[in-house]
Amino acid sequence: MSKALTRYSFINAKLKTRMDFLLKENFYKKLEDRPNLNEAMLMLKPSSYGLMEKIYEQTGDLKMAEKELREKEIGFYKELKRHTDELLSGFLDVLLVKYDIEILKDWIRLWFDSRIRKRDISALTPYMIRMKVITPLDPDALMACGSEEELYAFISTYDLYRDVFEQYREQKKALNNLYDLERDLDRLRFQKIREAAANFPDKDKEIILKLTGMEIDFENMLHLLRMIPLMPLEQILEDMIPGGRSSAGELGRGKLSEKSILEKSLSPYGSMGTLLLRDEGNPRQKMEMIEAVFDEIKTRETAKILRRDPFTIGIMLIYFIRKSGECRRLVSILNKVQYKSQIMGTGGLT
Amino acid sequence: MILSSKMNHLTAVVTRTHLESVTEILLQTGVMDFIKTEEIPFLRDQRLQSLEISESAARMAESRLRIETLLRTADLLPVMSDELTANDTLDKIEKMLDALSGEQQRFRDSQQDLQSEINRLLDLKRQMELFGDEKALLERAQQGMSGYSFLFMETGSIESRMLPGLEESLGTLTTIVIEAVSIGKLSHCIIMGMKKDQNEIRRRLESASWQQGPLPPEAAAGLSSGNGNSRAAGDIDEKVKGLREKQNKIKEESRDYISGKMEWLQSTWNDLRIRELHLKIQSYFSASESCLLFNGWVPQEHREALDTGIKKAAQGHCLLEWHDTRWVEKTTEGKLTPPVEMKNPGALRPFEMLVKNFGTPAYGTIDPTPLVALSYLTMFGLMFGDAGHGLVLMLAGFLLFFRDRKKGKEPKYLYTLIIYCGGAAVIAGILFGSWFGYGWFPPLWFNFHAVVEGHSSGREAISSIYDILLITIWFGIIVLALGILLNIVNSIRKRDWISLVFSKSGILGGWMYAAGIHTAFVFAGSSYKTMPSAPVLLLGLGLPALLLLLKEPVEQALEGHSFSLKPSSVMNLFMEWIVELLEIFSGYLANTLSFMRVAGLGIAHVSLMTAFFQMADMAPPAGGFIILLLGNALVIALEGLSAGIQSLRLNYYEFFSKYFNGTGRAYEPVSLKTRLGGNSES
Repeated sequence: MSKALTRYSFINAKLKTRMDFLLKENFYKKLEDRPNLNEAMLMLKPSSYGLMEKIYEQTGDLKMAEKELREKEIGFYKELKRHTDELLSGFLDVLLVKYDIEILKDWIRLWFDSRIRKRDISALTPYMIRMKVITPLDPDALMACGSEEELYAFISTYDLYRDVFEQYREQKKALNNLYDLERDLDRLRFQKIREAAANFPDKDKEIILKLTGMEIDFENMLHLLRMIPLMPLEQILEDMIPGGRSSAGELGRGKLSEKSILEKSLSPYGSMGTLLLRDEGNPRQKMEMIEAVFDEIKTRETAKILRRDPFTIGIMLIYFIRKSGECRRLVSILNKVQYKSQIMGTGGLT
Repeated sequence: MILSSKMNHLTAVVTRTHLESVTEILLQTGVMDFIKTEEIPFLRDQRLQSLEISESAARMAESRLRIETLLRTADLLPVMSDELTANDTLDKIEKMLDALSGEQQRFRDSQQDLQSEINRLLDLKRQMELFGDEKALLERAQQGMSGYSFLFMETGSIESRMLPGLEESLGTLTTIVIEAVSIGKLSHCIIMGMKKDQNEIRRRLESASWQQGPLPPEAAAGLSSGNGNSRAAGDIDEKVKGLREKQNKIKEESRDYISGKMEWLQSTWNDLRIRELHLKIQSYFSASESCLLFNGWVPQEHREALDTGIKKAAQGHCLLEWHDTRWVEKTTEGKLTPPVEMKNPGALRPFEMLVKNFGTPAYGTIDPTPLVALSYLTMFGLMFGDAGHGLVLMLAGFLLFFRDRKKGKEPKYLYTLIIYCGGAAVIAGILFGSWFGYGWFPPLWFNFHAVVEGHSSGREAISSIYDILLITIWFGIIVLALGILLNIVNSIRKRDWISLVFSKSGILGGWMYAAGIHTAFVFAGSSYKTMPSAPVLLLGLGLPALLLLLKEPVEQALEGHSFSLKPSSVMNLFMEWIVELLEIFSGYLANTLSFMRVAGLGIAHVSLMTAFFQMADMAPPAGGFIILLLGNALVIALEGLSAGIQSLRLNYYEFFSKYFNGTGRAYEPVSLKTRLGGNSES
């Protein structure tokens, strides 16, 4: 049996089956139409998200249910590791870095709110995730850090984050609004994935770089739109995360303008990208548009990969993309329903 | 059974004034498989419009789905009933549902308030645990600082008799009162709470005559002797427990609330469902200014009842035109095909499910369900012939059936199938004398285990594995011959004369297959030395093969064309003939040999059991028992699954391919039993 067959036959069959059980568009629509959160949660009861309803039925607390969902999502990666060989298991760890970073970001935000902004964070701490993903982060020790320097020193003790936080410490960088740090952590995540891709056979490597490149392009486009009123284009370009499907060198060539950068960034995606080149709309609308366009691009690209060789890493990556998209969308709809019902007075906290 | 219901086509015209009564009778009889008028060429007329319906089906469906959702609170399911007991307007139903849903949401909101308090308390406890030992807690308390930006701490004293009152007063805030020591009439305490509540805590402390100040030295002794921190933690745990109990109580209240409304919810759900079904029927109606027109298929045995019913409902103001399938087929040039109603007794439904999974038989052809039941169970029994294992399967089937008795039909059919398979295995096990691999009773037919192990089977005719293989080959021949026979019957019923004579499973195919079997047995019987005589070969194989050459010319002649004798056409004819002959010979050979898997799996079953017996013999008694237990479990699970799948495969690909045309459309009348879409689709 070929290596790819041994590596992927079981895991891909499992994930392909799970893909069939992802929520359908019709379900989202019905969920969105629920008049209050309780009814929306009850709709989830017979689905694979029944646990969220169970928690909500006990606590009435959406955030508690969300926390459970996130922990379950992380748990799924860990469970999958049991069915994979060394290479895939290592790669799953690299994918888990995303969650490790998200949790660290949450704690840093909390620390920032508490220490820098002097806000009461007691209402937020119960919703924080304390499970170990990759780094054995000690959140209490993190929260006890008295200053930014202390915080950098503390986080530098973890191998994964040493380079990023030592740089912050050496350069005595201020956290300001956290945006730069969050972006540096994202940069770290993509770098880890790209490094890990090098260990795979060419076919897998190509898929990993393609899908990651798409995500990087998306992040870069958002960065561009967010920063354009705040900093010069050259600086924004320098700050782009490398590894996108349109190379950073290409972006800087020729006359610099928001439109030209967008144009070059979107060139690998054919006609879909042109939707973003229109001048109308404020940055927020454009960001929403970017999200919608990239979602569509993702759907098309992943469908293409799914039609090809079934014994590649494609199915696994696509499952994760879709599953995490599903979780994100679900949480967003539930919050929307709660907000809507509070506004309309059809339920929820008043 | 075997043949599906004979269908009649009804075209009905009734006056508009009888819309409701006619709809009602159509729903009550529930036998009509409707067709949109636009789909019928001879009914298309520009003067006909779709019937305008005033009520909103979408609103009804939404309300019905909301009821289903709300019932989930109490793990209840609506039950279908034919009776209309409620008749509220949609507006009223919607208002009522809003009220119910709002009330449920209020229950959850109350739980959330409690949860916020639980969260704060648990956070407080965690923060306290971070202080480490009691000494550290005391030091922090003495300094009046928690070390955390959101935690408030203070020490002081209060008259002991006032302490319970203070605790009660602070109980509504996230606070912990630790009585460090009691000296005389004074209780010296540590107060902990959230910094955001600091002002409120202070206000309540003042009203309880709290005296802020350091703790006396005895307090330190009291705490370090063991329980300042754990007392506080215990206090928090107690509070959290109380709050969780309150949450549970609210949860039960919310369930009881919905259960209490069950009667209204059930009757309204049913009312909505029936109203939706009315609308569904009316959506098939076309209307002119004064008349309504609808059409559809009705099984012949219900024709009279429906005819009478409609005439009665329309008080005679109607025109009903009945046609048989042949007339419709001719008039629509085969564009409109009748639906297929499979009529099998309840006991055969699991096999009907297997057939439907492959496809619905074309109208007028044979419904293979009873034959599938027979062949499936025989194959399963031959592959899984152990009475003990069969009993376990039956038991598992019964348990699953009992566990999911409230679920839909499909799981029940599956569990019934498991029970049947278990039964087939028991019968086969008795025939082979196998009980969990042991020969506790003598076999009624032959000892399968003995044959596989190279001993005497108790029957002279079956002395080796080859004999078992031969049995399954004969079984395969019977199944395939039956398939050919069914194809001949189907072709005659469909008047498909070409298929009857020339198809692979037609007369010529069957002729060649019979001759092929004869040839193979003569050849094998002479130790692979002699073939049948030349005249037999010529008549059995040569003649039908030659006749097959006439397929295309005959086909063309029947269509009214003459066969072209151009070299290219003749060449094509020969090429197709050769390919077809190859397909017939290789196909039938492969199909027949494919049944050897039945013996293969039976042999594997026995071999696995033998292997476990040998392993058990090598182990100490207790270990041996465990090996046998696990071995039996493994064989039941693994072989049970394999035998089930292989039986299905042989039915689908060897048996069905001979005669079954799954191009039919299932008969789906709109009736009170019709299921409408639910909201759990995910």
